[in-house]
Amino acid sequence: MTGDRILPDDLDAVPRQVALAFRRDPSGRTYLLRQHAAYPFHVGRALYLPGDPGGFCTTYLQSCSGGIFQRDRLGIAVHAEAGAGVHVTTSASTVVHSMEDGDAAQSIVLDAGEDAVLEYLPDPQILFPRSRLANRLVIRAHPSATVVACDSFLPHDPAAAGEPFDWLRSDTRVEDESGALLAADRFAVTGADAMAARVGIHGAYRMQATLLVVHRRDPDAMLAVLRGVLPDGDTVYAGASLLPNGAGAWLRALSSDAVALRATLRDAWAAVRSATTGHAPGPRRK
Amino acid sequence: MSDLAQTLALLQFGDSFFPSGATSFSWGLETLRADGLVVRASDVEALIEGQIRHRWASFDRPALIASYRAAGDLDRIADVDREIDAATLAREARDGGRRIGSALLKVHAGMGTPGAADYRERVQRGDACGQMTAVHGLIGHATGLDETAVCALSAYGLAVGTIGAALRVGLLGHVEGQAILARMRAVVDEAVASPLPAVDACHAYTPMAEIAMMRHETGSGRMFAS
Repeated sequence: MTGDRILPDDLDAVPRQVALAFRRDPSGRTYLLRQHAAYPFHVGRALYLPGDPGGFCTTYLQSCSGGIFQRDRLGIAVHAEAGAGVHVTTSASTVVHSMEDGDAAQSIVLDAGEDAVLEYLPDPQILFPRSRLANRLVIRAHPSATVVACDSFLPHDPAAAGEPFDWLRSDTRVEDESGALLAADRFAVTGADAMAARVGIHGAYRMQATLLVVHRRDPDAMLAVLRGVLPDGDTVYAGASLLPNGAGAWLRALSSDAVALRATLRDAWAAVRSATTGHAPGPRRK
Repeated sequence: MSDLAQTLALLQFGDSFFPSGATSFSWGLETLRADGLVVRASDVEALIEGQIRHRWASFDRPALIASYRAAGDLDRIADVDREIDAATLAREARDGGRRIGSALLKVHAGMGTPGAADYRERVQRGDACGQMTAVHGLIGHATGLDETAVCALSAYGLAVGTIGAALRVGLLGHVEGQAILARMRAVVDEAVASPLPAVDACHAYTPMAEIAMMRHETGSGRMFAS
């Protein structure tokens, strides 16, 4: 840890490899207004998928480097202007590689304007032995906007040598349009603790996922939507609750089954999409 | 304050006879038991140890120390209070922290503890959240406790509250509970020596307990408020 912080000091100075801005045109179609993408990222073209609300724009963010490596400092910013409907996802899971020296950090800023719907749903981060990653996510939302964001991780030990990742740190902030804090979720976990089968932490589960639904218009409705899709049974242990300061609702889940955990996130997102736009999303190609 | 006076104050505030309101909360234990994830005394001990190491040390402790070091400056305490409230994402943990904080303020306002009545007014006006940890720091400073004593009281409250809940749901006997409480001294001792995050960087990682509290919101047959 760096002094009394959980994120590295140089994260504020990270150049943004990806900056995307989406605008809604007079016909109601959302288009990619500005696009900056530098190595290691590639931004796919704007897609308009069957099942999406009219004009809703989907973009895939791809990494050309094969994952996250030691000393990477990655910056991503996505801005959905007033009325835009945007879905940003990745084409595959992100491998966080073993690190001999230093750590990696990623900073993501999501900004949603009036009546915008911004969904940022990357695939899980796969933490290899001896990897060290700090994630920062800042969500800035107009009171009438909806932002759906998820993050999830799973440890992977290819040699089955019982060697965990070193650590994962995560700092998520939800802010109003002036930057005032509405909700914060911060954690720091070592691989040893995540895999220690300790009750109250991970228990017997290896993977963790979180889905935030920032929706200040009607947080209770979003909570009801999330509760409606919570899986029952032992494969996924999940709960949903209201975010502080009327910011919306959220879901957290533990599992040892990557497919089941992914389905939990997908079902939750699909239910939120249906409730907020009236359209259930079709399947995504991955 | 003399050592003896401080010890007497700790005995008073840490005693179950003191009306802190903390006995109404199980902090996820009731649901973990109902879900079959806590079934024996050793599970209760592991749960408490995890809560101290992975939540209290890096989340509650920085808040109560920052509030303590605000030395009665109620604006600064209210800032700490807001930060902690916004960073407590499970609603029952957030509401529980507010309820215990308010109960403590009520008692201390009645006892004439400096700052308690003024801060209670802020909470009642909606100008402060009244989170337990912020209130612990305020009251600890106002009653002349030292910082270590305030930490001890807070960690002890967490441990004894969970053990009390475990006793009431039949997971433990009294002697087992006392043995766990005694073993937690070494855990707390280590926790207070761990790095102290800034309040706006305080962090916790107890997802299973957090999920249990979220599930408790809709659970049936509940004895506890969390």
